[in-house]
Amino acid sequence: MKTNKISFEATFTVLTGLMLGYLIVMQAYSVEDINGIVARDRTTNIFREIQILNEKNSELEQEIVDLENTLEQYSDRASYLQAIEDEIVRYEKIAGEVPVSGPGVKLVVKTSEGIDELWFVDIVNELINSGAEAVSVQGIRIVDETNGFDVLPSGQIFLNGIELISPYEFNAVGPSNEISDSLEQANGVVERLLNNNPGVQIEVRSNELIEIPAAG
Amino acid sequence: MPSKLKLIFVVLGTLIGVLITSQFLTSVPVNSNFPVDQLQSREELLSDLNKEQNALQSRIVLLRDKIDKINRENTQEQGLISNLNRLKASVGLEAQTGPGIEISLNDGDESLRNTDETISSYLIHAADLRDIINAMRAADATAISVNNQRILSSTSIISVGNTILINNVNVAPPYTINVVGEPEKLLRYIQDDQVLEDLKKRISVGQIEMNIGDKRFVTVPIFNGSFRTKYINEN
Repeated sequence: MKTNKISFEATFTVLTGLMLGYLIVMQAYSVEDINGIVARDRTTNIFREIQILNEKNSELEQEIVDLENTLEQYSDRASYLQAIEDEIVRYEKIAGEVPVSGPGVKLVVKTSEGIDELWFVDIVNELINSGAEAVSVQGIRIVDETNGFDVLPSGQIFLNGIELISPYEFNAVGPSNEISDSLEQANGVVERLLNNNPGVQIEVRSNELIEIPAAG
Repeated sequence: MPSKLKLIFVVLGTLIGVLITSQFLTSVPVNSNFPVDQLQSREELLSDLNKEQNALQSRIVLLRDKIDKINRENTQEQGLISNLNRLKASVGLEAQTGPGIEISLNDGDESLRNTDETISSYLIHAADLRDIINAMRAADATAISVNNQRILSSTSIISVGNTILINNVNVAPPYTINVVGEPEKLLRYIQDDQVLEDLKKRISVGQIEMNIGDKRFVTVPIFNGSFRTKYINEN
């Protein structure tokens, strides 16, 4: 009887120890938990880098052709003026000084609880990465002068001094198929946003005409 | 059972618990799933593409210089040229120098970037750079670069495996982020406990390194890439 009692006590004590050990290790791992960060950068096939660099070099080659054409136009006074005007029109669109439109994608995020600013950063990054040439968030064109997404201690998110309130609307002009495929790919930003924010509803819609206002 | 024996059992049990749980949670680092010759070919190809990219970027800077020089020498169309120069400056086609801050970031000592292991708290991730840049923009930065890559609104910062691409250019650690703006405001923002919490947690336990200093003069270089305007039309 006494032996049974000791054996029960010993088993219970060892089990308590095992549980303690388990909790210690889990605690250590949870301190190291960086899922929030790592999950934001999906792992891609390592050969994707070659594809990206190839595409990038093709774009650079095209830019060189355009600049050489501009230089050639500079050699004659009439075409020189035309070249400068063409450059102004081009840079006005890039700088967001004029409203722009074109095919693209509209993404709407509906939530009753709000989302962290990192999702705004990641969605805009994904839109640009997939080829968007102009992006707006809640009607605010993102240009070089646009402020970052700013969070107040109360959790409100501001962009250019304007509070962002759900439903959050992102508009992007660019190759609509590539953009929507990139947003909705497995482990892409839409899937990650849904997985990390229960209750969020997301709509991604390709559109033949997306209109983006000039930057304020 | 004597309390001394109980204590021994608890300690033993704890140790065994630690060992068993660690064993289950630890994954064996895999250096690569790809054959060596395939990886070597990839590295050679990447190196060639990066060299080609550098040459193309240099050519772009040279051509833009030539165009600017002709415009500077033109005394007749000052109104048009001044408007053009203003626009170019606003899209990053002009280097910026001014007061600001310099942020240095590096992977931790125990980091292994050349492996398939991408879930490492010892590495600087693309998301870390995106968050810092967003924070600096929120603090009214007027120009930003990372390892001399000008950051524009059209800049994407992504990871491919453990490689970080900025403007689709391969950028390796250590990372130097130059920010032109009001130093006090930039410092106050980035040092706020509520800002960059995940990053600061990893810095506090020594997993990654970050140093910030204010500077009287910080230089952010001119954008040396291309602009995409295939789909946008003026309304």
